[in-house]
Amino acid sequence: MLRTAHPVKSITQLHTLLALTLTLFSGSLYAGQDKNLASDWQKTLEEARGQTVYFNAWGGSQTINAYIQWAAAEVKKQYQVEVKQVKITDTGDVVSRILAEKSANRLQGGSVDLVWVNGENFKAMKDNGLLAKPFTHKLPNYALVDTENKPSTRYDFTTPVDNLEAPWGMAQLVFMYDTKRLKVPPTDMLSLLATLQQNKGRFSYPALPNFYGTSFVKQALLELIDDPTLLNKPVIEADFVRVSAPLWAYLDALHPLLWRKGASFPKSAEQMKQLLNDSELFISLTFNPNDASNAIANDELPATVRTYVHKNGSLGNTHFVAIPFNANAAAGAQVFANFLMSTQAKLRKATRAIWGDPTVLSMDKLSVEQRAAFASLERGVATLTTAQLGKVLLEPHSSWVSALEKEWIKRYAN
Amino acid sequence: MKLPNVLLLAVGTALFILPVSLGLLGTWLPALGYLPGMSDGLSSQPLLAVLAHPSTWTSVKLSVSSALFVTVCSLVFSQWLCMNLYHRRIWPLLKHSIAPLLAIPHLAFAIGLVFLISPSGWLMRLLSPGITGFDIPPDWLIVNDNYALSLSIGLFLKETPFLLLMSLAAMSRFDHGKTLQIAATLKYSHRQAWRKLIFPQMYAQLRLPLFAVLSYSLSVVDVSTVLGPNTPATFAVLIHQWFNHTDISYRLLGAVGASMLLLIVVGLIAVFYAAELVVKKTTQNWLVAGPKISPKSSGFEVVLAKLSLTIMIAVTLLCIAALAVWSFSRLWRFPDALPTLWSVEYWQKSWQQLLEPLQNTAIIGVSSALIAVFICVLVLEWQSKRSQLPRGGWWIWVIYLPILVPQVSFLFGIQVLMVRFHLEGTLASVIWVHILFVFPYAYLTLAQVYLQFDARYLQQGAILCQSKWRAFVYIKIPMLFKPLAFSGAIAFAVSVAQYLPTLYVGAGRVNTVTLESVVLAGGSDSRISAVFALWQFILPLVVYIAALVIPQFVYRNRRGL
Repeated sequence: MLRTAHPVKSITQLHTLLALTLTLFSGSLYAGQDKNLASDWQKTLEEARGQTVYFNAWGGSQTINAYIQWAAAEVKKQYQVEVKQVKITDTGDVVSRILAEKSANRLQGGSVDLVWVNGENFKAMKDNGLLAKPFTHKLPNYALVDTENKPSTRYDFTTPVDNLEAPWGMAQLVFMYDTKRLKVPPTDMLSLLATLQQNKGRFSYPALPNFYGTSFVKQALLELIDDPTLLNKPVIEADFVRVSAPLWAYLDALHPLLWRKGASFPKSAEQMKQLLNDSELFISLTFNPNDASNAIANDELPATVRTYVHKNGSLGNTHFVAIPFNANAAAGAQVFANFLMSTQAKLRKATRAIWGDPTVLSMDKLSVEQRAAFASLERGVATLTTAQLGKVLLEPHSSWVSALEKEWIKRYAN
Repeated sequence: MKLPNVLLLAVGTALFILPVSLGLLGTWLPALGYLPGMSDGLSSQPLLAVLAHPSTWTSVKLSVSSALFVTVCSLVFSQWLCMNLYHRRIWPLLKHSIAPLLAIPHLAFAIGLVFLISPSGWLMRLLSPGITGFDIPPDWLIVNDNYALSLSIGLFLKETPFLLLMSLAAMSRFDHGKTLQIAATLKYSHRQAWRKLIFPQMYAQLRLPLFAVLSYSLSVVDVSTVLGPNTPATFAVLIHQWFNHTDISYRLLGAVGASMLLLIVVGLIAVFYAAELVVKKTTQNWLVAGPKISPKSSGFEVVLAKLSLTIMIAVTLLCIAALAVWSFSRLWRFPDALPTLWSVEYWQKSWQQLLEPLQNTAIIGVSSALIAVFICVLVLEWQSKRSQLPRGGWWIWVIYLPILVPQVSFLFGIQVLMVRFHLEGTLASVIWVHILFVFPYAYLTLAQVYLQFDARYLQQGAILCQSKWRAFVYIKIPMLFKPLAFSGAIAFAVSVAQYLPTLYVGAGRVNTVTLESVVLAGGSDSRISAVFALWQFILPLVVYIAALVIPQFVYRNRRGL
């Protein structure tokens, strides 16, 4: 089944309309709604007390696991909600498990209460009815989210979020490179090719269907395609073979210059970080602009590592937490999701030594002190400023992913 | 059929045949397009999709070739070692190195191997820049090669000790000493005697363990992700990817692949049987031709065998050493031979985080091992009383079933069933599924010694104790305590290493050291991967040592045993 297209243009229109409506009705309507929301929220808090929330989240990073442990301790203290992280290697596992539960007709008492998700997995859950009713608009802290200027909090890889998942953090595709090995970093896909001609075998990207691999290929497509607006529409509306031809020509030229001459690919971006540390690679990629700085502080990467982005912008998206339709502790999950969006949690998450994940909150909606706290956060040695990070390119319509993946596997993994 | 046979069949069915068949059924139905909640009618669509998938055939070829390589090479190598080293001075080393080699979980070994042999690995660091001249690692494709060679070699190094253990067990099943003596008086050389007289008897006993190796190599996922190719990956990994694909409809492809994998295993087992027949036919004349006067064999082959055994042990020790060094390092850049900064912080951190997984692993491992050994004793006691019971017939196939059928082929089905009856995600169900995989190994290590127990001790004891039951508890169990403990230790080690069963049945909620290791092996931090891989190794090692030490300690007053 194909979803309706939501080109950027219509997002902006929708946004204007929404803003207009809000200004018009904000006075009278809001007061009553607030009261209702507040009493509903009280009910949720009461219901949540004593519940155990199984939070299924990727567990491959000790830094992130430690942060989740801290957040769990806080909600236990503040709301008497117990949170247990179920560490997973692949969110697909979780979607699969919830699906198994659905096919076994288990409509309540599911094994997953909250899941860290975005993009394809979210779309899969939404399309298959694996998600609970819309809930984020009932969370008090959702009002602080910068839904206006961060459209990816409302359109998850172009799939409308529809309040089905709560924004947790922002991500942008950033390249890391070792200045000791490489003086001048590339500025776009074509100069990457030139750089690798001088430094054969010192870059690669994870084999698809790995998320980072797919992201690199999408970034390349965004830079190489003649008409990028095609990417906002379902792939079926474009002549895929013709439109994607420049991409494959590029990859055909790139692969002989890659690590292991493209005969083998790294398994994940995490492995690439390891390879960067070992000087097997000079360039790696990440979705967290603070990743390199954190890794340097942690002696996981050489102090000479810095980051860069391509000059015409780079892919950006938001990651979320969602509640499955049959969650056993839905109220507790809401309380935890709400806590994760609080300024307290966000400030800690954005702190470099803790995690350093860019916030989803809108600075304009915070108090003066809160804003000051965010402003005083130390920027890591390898972290780019917001201005340096440049333009954020929206993810292509999610139908492109499977088309790109299929073609890539056909060409390079057979 | 007599009553005991019926009962045995019932026990076997309940324990092994039923869960495996239900699991298979739960995988075959989706393979035919039936998965309630997603697609309801039967269709050939998933099958066609798998056949048309560009990765399928290369992937199948890789899996088949590497599994054949591992099976044949580990068989040949283990027999060659036995033949050349039997009753030489190095023989005790071989005997004693088996248990510790087996204790190392496959995954930990694989991670260690990568730390050792990859272009930025320890060996290259030791040689650089002095000998190689490299100050950055060369861009050489060593691990994850497209022919699955590094995967095959890694598995070969791990499966050889298993076949050695099985060979030792097999040798105690026939009077190999006498055979060799008689052969010698008939002027057979040692090699001839081994090849013509010992090996044919041995192979009959090794057939099923060999098939277990074959099935394991075909269906292994965790080791293959670390060492195997990825353009495309081996078939088991591909299936696993399909089961976990973001596009849920790929589950059906996964189910088809899992069913295909089972067919491949069955097909290859048939090939092995056929090959056995052919070899039997063609070597018939040679086998009965009697001794041939051959020039006395030079000691060269023996030296080579000694060297190979030493290398095998050394590589394993180096893998562990590489893990140990990484686990205590803070900063270790290429081409430094050793870390420039050392630290214990990753061990400390892991301890807090591992409290629960360690506890779970210990509870699951100890309970499944104890239960498995207990059932073994029940079954064997029964068998020992009834000499007419089949020893090598259908019964042994039933026991082997869970380790002959590839795990991915029925775990998905078991997961669906567990979810339906709301049984998943509990310690009890994880223990249950572990028993399934642990029992065969416990039985295999125990059966021979147990069945050879001289019943006259028991009769004597029964007369003296005035009770069969007391004789059993005070005479038989103490006399068999050592093998019982060893079999328990093997069972524990097998339980610790289980990845897919724990993941599927535990719903991710029952966290074990192995689950943590797999998650973190995919992470970016070598230091943390090393710590967790070592934890995975420490547990079975402690239990092995306990299995050696405790019997000695408990029965220090009964040296005569």
